[in-house]
Amino acid sequence: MLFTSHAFLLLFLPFTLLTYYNVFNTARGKMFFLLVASYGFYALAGWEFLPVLLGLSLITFISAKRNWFLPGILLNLGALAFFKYWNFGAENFNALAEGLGFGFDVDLLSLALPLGISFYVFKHIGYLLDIQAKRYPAGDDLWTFLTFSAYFPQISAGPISSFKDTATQFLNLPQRLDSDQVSSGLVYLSMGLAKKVLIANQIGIFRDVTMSTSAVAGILPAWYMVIAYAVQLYFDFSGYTDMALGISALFGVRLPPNFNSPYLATDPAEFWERWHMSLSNWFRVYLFTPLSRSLLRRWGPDKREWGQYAANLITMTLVGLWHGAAWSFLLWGFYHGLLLNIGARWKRSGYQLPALVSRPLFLISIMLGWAIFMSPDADFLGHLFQGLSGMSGFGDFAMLNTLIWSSATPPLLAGILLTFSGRSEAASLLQDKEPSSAQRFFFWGVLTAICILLMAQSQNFIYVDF
Amino acid sequence: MEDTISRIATYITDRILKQPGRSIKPDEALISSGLVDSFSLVDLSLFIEDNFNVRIDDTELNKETFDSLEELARLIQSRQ
Repeated sequence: MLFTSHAFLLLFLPFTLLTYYNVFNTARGKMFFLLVASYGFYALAGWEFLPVLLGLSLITFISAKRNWFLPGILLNLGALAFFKYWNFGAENFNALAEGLGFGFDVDLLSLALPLGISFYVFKHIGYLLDIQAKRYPAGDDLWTFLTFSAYFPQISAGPISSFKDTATQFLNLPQRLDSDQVSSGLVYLSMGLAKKVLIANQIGIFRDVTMSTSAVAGILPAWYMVIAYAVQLYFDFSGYTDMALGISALFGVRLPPNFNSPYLATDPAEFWERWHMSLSNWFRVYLFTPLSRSLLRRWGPDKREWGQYAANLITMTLVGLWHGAAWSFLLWGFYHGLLLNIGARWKRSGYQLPALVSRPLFLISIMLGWAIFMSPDADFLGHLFQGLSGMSGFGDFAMLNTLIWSSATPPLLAGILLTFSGRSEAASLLQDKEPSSAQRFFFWGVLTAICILLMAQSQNFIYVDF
Repeated sequence: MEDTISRIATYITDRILKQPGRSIKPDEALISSGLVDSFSLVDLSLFIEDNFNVRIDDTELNKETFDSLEELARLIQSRQ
């Protein structure tokens, strides 16, 4: 069940909110209801994967209590690897075996990806590593942990939060929200819905039917398609996150932000402090930092730079792999590792380019990364890079005409305007003292009504598939 | 505290930034300004462990925990 479906917005959410505030008067009761609602939400998405969620949650809880950290982490990673990477591994193994002349190959399996497994497994692993590092004690209450693991506003595509930050809120769930809290939650929800339905979906619908090697033949069509994808992806995922934060806020639970106007970043390191922040924070705390410590201790200060380069490449390649079982994602991650290294080297040199040069250069480097990310295969990637570089000319006039006058262009322009005005995040709107709550309510109410009318053409959120 | 600030500042300018002549003000933003990146924070935390016997947890290596020499020196002193 998508957040942008009529069933969710007009039935599930109102029903759960009304029940939550009118039937359950204690924090404990409210938490149990959230647990039931979360498992109900998950079951509606695919009941056959409920045992996976429940099983891994129980394994994680017990492992933390018994200090079985390595088995708990390996079992979680094993489940993720099985569902997400088995076929990728098998295909590549078979190709290698065939190339080396071996006669056997590994069977591919018909596997669907359990909803949210990439996200809740990472919550579980973060929990186990936090307990192992003695940041806080293992939780005593199974129900609190199960609620944290399955919490429906974040189960589909994050944001990834820590047990300490989220579960402690379950112990203090509010009886009621004040009007500012309700208003804030609704602004996040409406803004996210608008970003998804009015911008991301409208670009996505056009791109889905247009994407082909002929659509990227030529420098202008190629850059149009890449920039369109960059805007679609940002508004799709940040739209989802705004909705998740808003929905959760209506239940009195704060989730961490995931985006902070990433296209306003000025260098690769800053980009990763603004894009998918909960994931980059997870990788920084649980992989990059321990890895960097180890490399600095082993290699010493004289090889400091090499340690940084290695840590960046390893971490970012795994960030790429997390996104999906395909070489394009691995290559994209590795590419971002290279960008981070180039950025670090440049900073050390002390040279500074004027902002008029450095900002566009940086944005182009991010767009080239998205070109890798969006390519379904090497053939398309090759055509796309030929287009982007101008090697296939300016582009066919008919294709250019189709693109410029397409239904994607107005939302694309709106998205670009919002992005560079710094007003693309719900948080930026809530910092304004004006307009008043009533005006805000009216504006967002009208926008939400428009979105609900347009939701018939709703597309899945891109990051739900990761 | 001034000695702590001075030692940390020297480590940052000499070993991390490789700019020995540079000075860093005690209240100058280290992390939010991009002066010290994530890897350098780890490097700095190892220097603090080895020289002040104070451990900064991996979850604390961010601008919310400290963003200036003064804030870092206060954190170190509070844990000694």
